[in-house]
Amino acid sequence: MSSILISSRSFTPGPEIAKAVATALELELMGESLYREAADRFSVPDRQLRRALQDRPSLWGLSSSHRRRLATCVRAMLSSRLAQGDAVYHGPFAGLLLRGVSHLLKVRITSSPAARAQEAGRQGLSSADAMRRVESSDRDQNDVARDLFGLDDLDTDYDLAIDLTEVEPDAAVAAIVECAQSAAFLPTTFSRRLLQDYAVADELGARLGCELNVDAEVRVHKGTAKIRAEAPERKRAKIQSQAESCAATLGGIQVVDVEVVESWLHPLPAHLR
Amino acid sequence: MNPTPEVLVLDDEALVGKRLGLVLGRMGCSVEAFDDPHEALQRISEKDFDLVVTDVVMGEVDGIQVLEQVRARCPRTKVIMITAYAMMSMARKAMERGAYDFVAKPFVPAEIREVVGRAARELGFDLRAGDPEPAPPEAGS
Repeated sequence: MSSILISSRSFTPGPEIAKAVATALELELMGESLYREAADRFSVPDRQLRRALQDRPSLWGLSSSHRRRLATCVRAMLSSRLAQGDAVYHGPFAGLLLRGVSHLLKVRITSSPAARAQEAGRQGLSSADAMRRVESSDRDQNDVARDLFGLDDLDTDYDLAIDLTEVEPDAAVAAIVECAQSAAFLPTTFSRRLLQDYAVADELGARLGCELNVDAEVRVHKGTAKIRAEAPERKRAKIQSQAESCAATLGGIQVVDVEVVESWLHPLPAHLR
Repeated sequence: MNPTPEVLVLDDEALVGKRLGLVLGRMGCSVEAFDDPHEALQRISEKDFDLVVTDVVMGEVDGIQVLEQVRARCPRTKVIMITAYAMMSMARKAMERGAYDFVAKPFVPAEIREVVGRAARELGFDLRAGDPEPAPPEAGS
């Protein structure tokens, strides 16, 4: 069976649908708990991890660099959990996380802006304010997606996009469960290996970010970790040795290949880059 | 049932087929290796194999056609797809059409031994783990 990654637009019953799917398939549901676990694992405040994936970019908010570092911690937690066994994830950007893994079913739950505004209106907003809230939350999510991934968060990034204007929530749950049980989403040696490579790369990237304060792009393939780190050249030896020591504790990495890229922003503290 | 699994290996790179044949032979499989898909399809139409290990991208005949022909003739046969051009869409297509597993090249012998061993066990064969190579070369590039 596959694991299921679900993202939902604001003011839709996405969390309830994810919970029902997890119950139907007897799988663990990872949602808010993922932030807490990532916070514990990488010693960062869980509120910041949430903000990294939810708050729109602004001059006074998280810098792009800091946001990416925090998002790597969340992804590391997610990929390592999924590499251990099937689960259901509910959270932002399911379509853009862990791309190319054939046994991960990616689902988006959406509904018409009018229906979502009606739902928002139940929180005491006027209909105009409710519609504005819906539009701004979509805009914010797209801005965060561009900041984190350089991409828009589009319905086409998902295997299944369910519009609740057309489909009842129960039918949505049934469709997701049926799809997750189809042969196309069975795990393969290829997809398991790719997920394992993501898990190791993200763990290494998160540790380099949190422990060494280094922004690094890490790719792992067949036991080789390729690290492209933005840092002053004088830090190369330290990064290499830190990466090798991280790799040794992670296992599964035989070769560490570090490329250091100088940036004019390095004199600035990390949170301002 | 034969005491050893009958395996057909198909890869248009003869060297890959030869190496795979060696690895699977050491496990106790009886292997027929082909580098011409037409010849392999002919053989598949004559005989029911327990396992088929086939490349996916091979020119005019692709591994998906081989998979479909095997499944049509003998649904019990387990088909393992191998490819140097592994992509999510290809893996999903293969699994949807009944492949047993999908393995990206290059792979180390241990990887293919694990997949073949698992498939053979599900068919009721008890294979040897195979002699580990002193310095396992990557098979299939």
